[in-house]
Amino acid sequence: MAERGESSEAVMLKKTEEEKLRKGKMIVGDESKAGYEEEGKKVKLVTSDGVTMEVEISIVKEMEIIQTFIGATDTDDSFIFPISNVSSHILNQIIELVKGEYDQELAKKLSHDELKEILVAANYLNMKTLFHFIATAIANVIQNKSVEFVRDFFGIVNDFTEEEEAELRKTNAWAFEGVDED
Amino acid sequence: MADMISNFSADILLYILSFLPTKQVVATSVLCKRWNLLWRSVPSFDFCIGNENRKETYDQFFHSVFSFLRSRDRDQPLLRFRLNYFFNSFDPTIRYSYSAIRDTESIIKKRIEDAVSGSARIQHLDLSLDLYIVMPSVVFTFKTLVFLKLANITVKNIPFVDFPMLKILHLNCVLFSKGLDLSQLLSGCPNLEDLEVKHILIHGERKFSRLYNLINMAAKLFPFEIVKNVKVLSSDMFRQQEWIFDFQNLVQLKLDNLYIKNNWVELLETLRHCPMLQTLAIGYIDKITFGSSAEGHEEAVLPDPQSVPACISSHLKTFPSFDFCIGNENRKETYDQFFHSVFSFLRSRDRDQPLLRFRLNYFFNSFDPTIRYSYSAIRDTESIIKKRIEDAVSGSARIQHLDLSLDLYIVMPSVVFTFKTLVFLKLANITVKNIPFVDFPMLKILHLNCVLFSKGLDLSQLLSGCPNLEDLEVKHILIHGERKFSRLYNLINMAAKLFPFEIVKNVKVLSSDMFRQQEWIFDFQNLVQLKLDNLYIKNNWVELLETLRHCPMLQTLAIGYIDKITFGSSAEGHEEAVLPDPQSVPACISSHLKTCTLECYRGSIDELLFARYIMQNAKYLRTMKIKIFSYNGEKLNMIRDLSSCMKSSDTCKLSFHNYY
Repeated sequence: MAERGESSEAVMLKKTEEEKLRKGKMIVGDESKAGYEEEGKKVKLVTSDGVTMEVEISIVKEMEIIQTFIGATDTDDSFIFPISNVSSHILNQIIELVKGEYDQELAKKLSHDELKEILVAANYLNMKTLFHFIATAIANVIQNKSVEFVRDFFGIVNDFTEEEEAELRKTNAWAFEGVDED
Repeated sequence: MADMISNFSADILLYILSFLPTKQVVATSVLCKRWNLLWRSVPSFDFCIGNENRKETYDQFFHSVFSFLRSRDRDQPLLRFRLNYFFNSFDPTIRYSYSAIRDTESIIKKRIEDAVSGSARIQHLDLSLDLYIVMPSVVFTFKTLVFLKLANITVKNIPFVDFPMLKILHLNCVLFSKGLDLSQLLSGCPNLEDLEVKHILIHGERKFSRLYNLINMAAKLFPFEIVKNVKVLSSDMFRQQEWIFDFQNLVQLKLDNLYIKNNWVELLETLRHCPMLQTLAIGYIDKITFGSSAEGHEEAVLPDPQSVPACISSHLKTFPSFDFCIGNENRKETYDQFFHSVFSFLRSRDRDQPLLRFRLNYFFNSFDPTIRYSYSAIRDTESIIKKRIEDAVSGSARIQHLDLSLDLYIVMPSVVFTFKTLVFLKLANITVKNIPFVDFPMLKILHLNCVLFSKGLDLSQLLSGCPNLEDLEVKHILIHGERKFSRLYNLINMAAKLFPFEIVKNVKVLSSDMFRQQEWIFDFQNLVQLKLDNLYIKNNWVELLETLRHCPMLQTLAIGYIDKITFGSSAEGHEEAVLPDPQSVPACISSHLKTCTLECYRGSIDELLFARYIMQNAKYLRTMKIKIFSYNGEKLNMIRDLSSCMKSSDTCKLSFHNYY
């Protein structure tokens, strides 16, 4: 998540051009899944950690924010889209999930931090199917877990006093009955 | 990650929370100040309660439901709504009278209507209530519904159905009033992709409109024409004559309760109509003939390779079956991995420690060409597995617990018959042959299912080597006609069919799906628990009662499925059934019977008569349990009839349950 929000997109782009020269190209995507008239077409995305990734058009099509860009600008293959909120690690995870046709088994392998970062990325990229998929995966993780677990999952600091919390628990007492506080 | 939480806008949090049970959603009010009031805006309602036995539990549940509805922010529309409960309407401690039922019905209906009114954008609705509850008709105005699941509910007075967005429809135990039918409901769901229909009465001659977009279907009693485009089909009805269309898109097929005759040829013919099939699952198979060739029956003939259905030769990837740990795998690699881990465990464990328990269960898909196809491959695999099992258990002369479920092609390693310490032996899908002599002096539990005995050996020989057997279960075993069985003096539990009764006179527990009165000529002096399934009743239970005279100590009687019961016999001029008069009631009924269960009560006069007879004559009866099998509204009448029976035992509790 380095430098997120610090650099303007233009600066980001320049920086990543240099990175690209240094690191070489990272090619991602599966040729066999590419679509009809745009067969094999890839779109270059620059991640928050400055990696340029070539991503299949079939995957980029789910990213409505990029689609808006493509629609708005007269682009050619050399155009590079900055996605300054998404790291290369998370983008790779996203590509795996989309290619895996949103298999719940894949979601189970993700860490809590990865789940949250992918959700933020899906929201930012406006990937509706991915967003729904990860939101339900997160709901599955926290379902029927204790208040403490949920606080920990979302990194919430309890800013209630003990008395305030006890009072709140009394207000909706039914919601706390028969719940294991493990 | 420290600032991650700040990246979650309230909208994102609300979206996540909308997939959680409402109780948990409300509990998030104590997480922190930012979350304190968030729960009030969550666009979902999700309350479930199971089969509770205290009225207070239901009262609390509905209190929670109503208090949530009162305090949530009603400007936030509900997008998801789930209310599932099972109301035990037959339990007198919960609610009993018709007026109570009506009151509850009207309150719940009102609350549901209140809750969802103004939620014209609702997408996901899941109601599992009680057959006495009529679905609020407001549901039929929800044109944005994508997912609709209804269970245990009555649907009536619907003028017109229009669910243009509905993709998923699951119906289980839904009672349609005369005006409306499943066909009408479906005609209003043109974009349905997933349909599941269980326990629904479909009126005979209705016409269904074609469902062009259907992908998944799990339904029975359904005309196939309308679902020709499905990709996934699950059915427990299979009649070859209905498979007259090509299912061009079908990739996954599950057939349950299959009745196979004519050596699978019919099924194979049917598969010709499924050219793209990749996954085939066969569930329970009715009346399969095991070991038929031993009886001079022709070797089963399957079509020759030239005429193998195209889907089998070209597409079939999976042939899973039920109940087997690694049976559902479709890749040779998965089996290889499985056996790799088995064998690597065996290699690396400390072989000085003898194995006391050994279980290996798998289902090997011998029909899948990618796994193994040729007989030589089968032989190879067989010999490897056999060798590994022998290796694994050799030197384990102290093994006590052995559970093998393999493949009929696998011959059980004969080393098993040297395990004199065996206490528990469970064999399934295995061939047993070349056994000179059986000696399991410690064996107490023997469960056999689908075991093929070679000509030399028979079940009778196996049993003769198990003098101390206490628990025997035998399923799908061919028993050669004239074998003599030796007496099993210690047998306590027996679940077996086609079995001579002489040898098991001492059992305490007997479960059988064969009942022939002429075989009950001994007294079962110890029998305390008897279950009879697939009972064929004629002559008005007299035969069964005569039989019970041979079970003087019986305390628990369960009657399962009854074959060919005469429905409404008196209506057809049939004489009123006559049961023996009270003087001649079998002693076990009048003196010992404590529990009686009718497991598949369908409400015929004969059944009522029997239930009444038991209740009138069993002086020590504590529990009379009736599992009602009924698709229609007859249930209440059955309850009423049964509840009005006189009981000679003061402590008898009459309880009703659903057969399903």
